[in-house]
Amino acid sequence: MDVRRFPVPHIAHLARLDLSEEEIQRFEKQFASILSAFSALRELDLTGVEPLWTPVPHTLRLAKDQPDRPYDRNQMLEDAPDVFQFYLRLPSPLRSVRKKQ
Amino acid sequence: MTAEFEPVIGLEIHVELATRRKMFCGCPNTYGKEPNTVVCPVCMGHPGTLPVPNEEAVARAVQLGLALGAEIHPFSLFFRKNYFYPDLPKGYQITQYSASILTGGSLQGVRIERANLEEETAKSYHTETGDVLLDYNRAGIPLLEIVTHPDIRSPEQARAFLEELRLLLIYLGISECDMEKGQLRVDANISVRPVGSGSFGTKVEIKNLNSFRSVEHALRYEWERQAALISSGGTVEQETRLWDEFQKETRPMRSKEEAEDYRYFMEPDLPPLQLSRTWLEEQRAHLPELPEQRRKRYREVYHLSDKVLEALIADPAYGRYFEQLAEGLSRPELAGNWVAVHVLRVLKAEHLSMEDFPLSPDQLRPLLRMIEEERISHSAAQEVFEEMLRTGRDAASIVEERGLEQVSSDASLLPVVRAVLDAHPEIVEKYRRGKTGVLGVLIGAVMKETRGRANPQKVRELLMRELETS
Ligand SMILES: [Zn+2]
Repeated sequence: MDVRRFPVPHIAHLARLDLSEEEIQRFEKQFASILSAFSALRELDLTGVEPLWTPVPHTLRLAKDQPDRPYDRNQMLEDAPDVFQFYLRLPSPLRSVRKKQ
Repeated sequence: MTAEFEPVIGLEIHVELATRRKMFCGCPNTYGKEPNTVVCPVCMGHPGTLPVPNEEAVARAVQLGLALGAEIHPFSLFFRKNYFYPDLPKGYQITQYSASILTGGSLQGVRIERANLEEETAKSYHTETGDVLLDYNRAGIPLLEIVTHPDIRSPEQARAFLEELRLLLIYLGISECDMEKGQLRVDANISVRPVGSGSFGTKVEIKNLNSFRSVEHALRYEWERQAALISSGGTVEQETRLWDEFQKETRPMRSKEEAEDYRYFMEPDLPPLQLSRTWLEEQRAHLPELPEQRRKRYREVYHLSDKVLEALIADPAYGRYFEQLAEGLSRPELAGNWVAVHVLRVLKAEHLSMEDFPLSPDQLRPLLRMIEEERISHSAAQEVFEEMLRTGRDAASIVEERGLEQVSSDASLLPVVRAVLDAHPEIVEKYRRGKTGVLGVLIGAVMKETRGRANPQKVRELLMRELETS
């Protein structure tokens, strides 16, 4: 990827972020500097080096198939932006796409 | 036109795993509960929560892998598939992307490309005003995505493969595969090419397939559509089409406003999934008898006809019932016939599962033993069976009460046989002149005299003996 041209508007659109022209330019600069740090790492000769999955050795813990009690519905819906008859209500994602483009 | 073009078909199957809890949180794995009553901060994607994979879901995937002869990877990874849709509360789905737990293997000659562990999305409903209503009960149920190679060459083969895969999943206890409940979902991709060609055409993906029958119909429709298109000089467009069950046609899906761009990256909250050799061996030890192994055993041990065999294989519970019923009978194929014909007829008519069938194998067996011992005729047995279902009474008492026991003794039958011979001297005469076919008339007369209770085999013997000697 060309680090000078990180596709900020494209990524922002995929995440449904509405960025101003000024923000786009600022983020483009920041991404370029972050990605160029990585491209410096890319120049290292890594032949024979095992991939590092995690900086601290730990293994994935699996849960036994024992269900817990689910949370109280009212408590869970308290944080929802909008509720309709025990459903969370959200604007259609397709609609927000059309608004943006 | 389809004669000149052969279809090249691949399938993508999503199966909900029948675990007790969800894939990454402690919520019970349920169906049909009140909206948003089986949720927690993890499956609703609250910030700061962490996923913990369910060991049983991993075990189920491995068991399927063993059954398919797949390569089971003791080291696999989880990824985030990012897309913006409210049925994914986190903004991404955890899946395995390019580091699957299973690759390879095959079923009915169709090669499996891979199978990935994933999580279900929430159920969403669209309102007239364009809003989305969400029920997160389903979010986070363990899901296995199974992808085949494009090895299938006809719609019928696709359906047969799916039927066999479903059977395998049910035998393994991986899923109940109820398509109406969305426990098993199928997408198909199909391209066509001139018969004999080794290259691949442009493939079309078909979604909204609600039954194996619609898979078959949609593939046939699409095969014909693509063949006609190419024959008339057109080109097939790479697209996703939806099957319309009412119009019996596929239609292009409203094109997405942007190309799919899921920005996969490794799930930072989950280290690699590593499975030890001993753990994998334990899964192998847990494997039940699989459909193909059961078919083989039933053929060898019970000598069942193919038709009876397939009826008994269709549900593992049918086989269990049959085997218990056959125990202690000298003709196990009689038990096979009775389950395949009479028991299954009742189950289908009453929409019952085997577990709900009112007669246990121990209750039904005495009736079959009476048939074996020729104490009752087949038609009498059916009458007794109906009465047992109605009343739950035992076979012997119904037979006795209704006087259905076959009469086989010389002492009871000989007087009737002699009376019939005396009453039909002209038929006796015909028989003696070599027209032995008239024996049937005499047997019929004896059966009528005994109101059907005489053992017809015994009647034949006695009649012949009397005709030869007197
Ligand atoms: Zn949960």
